[in-house]
Amino acid sequence: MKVTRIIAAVAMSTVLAGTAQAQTNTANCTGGTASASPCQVQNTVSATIPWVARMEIASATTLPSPTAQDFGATGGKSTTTPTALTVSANAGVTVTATAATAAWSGPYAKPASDLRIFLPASPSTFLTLNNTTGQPVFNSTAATAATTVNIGYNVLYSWGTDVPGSYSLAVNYTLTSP
Amino acid sequence: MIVLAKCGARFLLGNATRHRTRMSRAIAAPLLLLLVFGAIAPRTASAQAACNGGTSCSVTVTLRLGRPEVFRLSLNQATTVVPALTAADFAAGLKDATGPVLTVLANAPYRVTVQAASTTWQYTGASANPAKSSADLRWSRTAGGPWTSSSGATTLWPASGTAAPATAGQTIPLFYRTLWQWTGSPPGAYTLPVNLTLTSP
Repeated sequence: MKVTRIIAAVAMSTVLAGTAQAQTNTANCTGGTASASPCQVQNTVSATIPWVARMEIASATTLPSPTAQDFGATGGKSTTTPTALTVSANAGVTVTATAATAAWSGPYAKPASDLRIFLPASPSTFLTLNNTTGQPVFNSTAATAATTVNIGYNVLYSWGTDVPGSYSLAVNYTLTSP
Repeated sequence: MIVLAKCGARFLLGNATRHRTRMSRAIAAPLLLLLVFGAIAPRTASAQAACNGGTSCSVTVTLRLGRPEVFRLSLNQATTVVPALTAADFAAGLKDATGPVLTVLANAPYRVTVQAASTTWQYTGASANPAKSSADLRWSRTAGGPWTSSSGATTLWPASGTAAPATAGQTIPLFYRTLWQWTGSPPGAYTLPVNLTLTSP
């Protein structure tokens, strides 16, 4: 009989322990006042945040038409109104620009390297574009919220090759985590 | 308690020796139950016996059972995972998540409050701890709001008034809105325990 009672007690303890384990999200309380018997359960909210970045730019920019003085000029022809690129990131971020293709589309396969970009702060420092290597446009080691980067475009024109017509070249701006 | 009364009657009929062992065994189980449930069922029992010979004798046992305020508060999930955030969520500055469903059993009026367990989120990641405020976690009874900051203790239930009536199973949905800013939310894992507390006003 003693053995039976011991087994019964052990069985009861096991049942109680199992019940407690299964009800980790349940609070049983008597009294109802915080001091008498706290009746509290906890729900943990969790979120995993990746590196997140965003940029915005106008989908098209119309360049000023060149004049005779612009042809053959080493300084090319620059835009007078910058194109705004807005960058946001929750950590460090780098923006680069590349030409989408090796040449402009139009009546002549004008090389992509005839397009250069510059930042208004340094209007004479031109960054020549190509379709293989990105040119740095913006860099931040810290998070940034809606930082505006003003981008200027500069185009080289040549008497011998740039026949009249409409030309276009897509430029890719790429966000990367440094 | 029924077993106790039955054994008592047999004892009074003169079979004390024969039934003493059975009675001990029979009492063991109820006693164990009394120990288990004693905390939630305070009781008063008294018996006055007066047997002065004769062929029969009876004893009336009156059991008084106190009725304390008893509550049970449970959740259907211990953790709420905020869906993966995108750049659009950061641009909007928020991300919603469906929280747990609370179930309340109560034999007396009650109130359930919500409050973040700490003032800031716990952060694990490569960046310096941004000490994201618990105010960036808001809660609501409905998916569309209105939203209330979790930084202070506020009443989740009842929706109005000071206390909800006794219930055999009131379910209370809980929804969360998390706020995120481009600066101050570096990549990493964020956790914030939320205390859901039932009190009797």
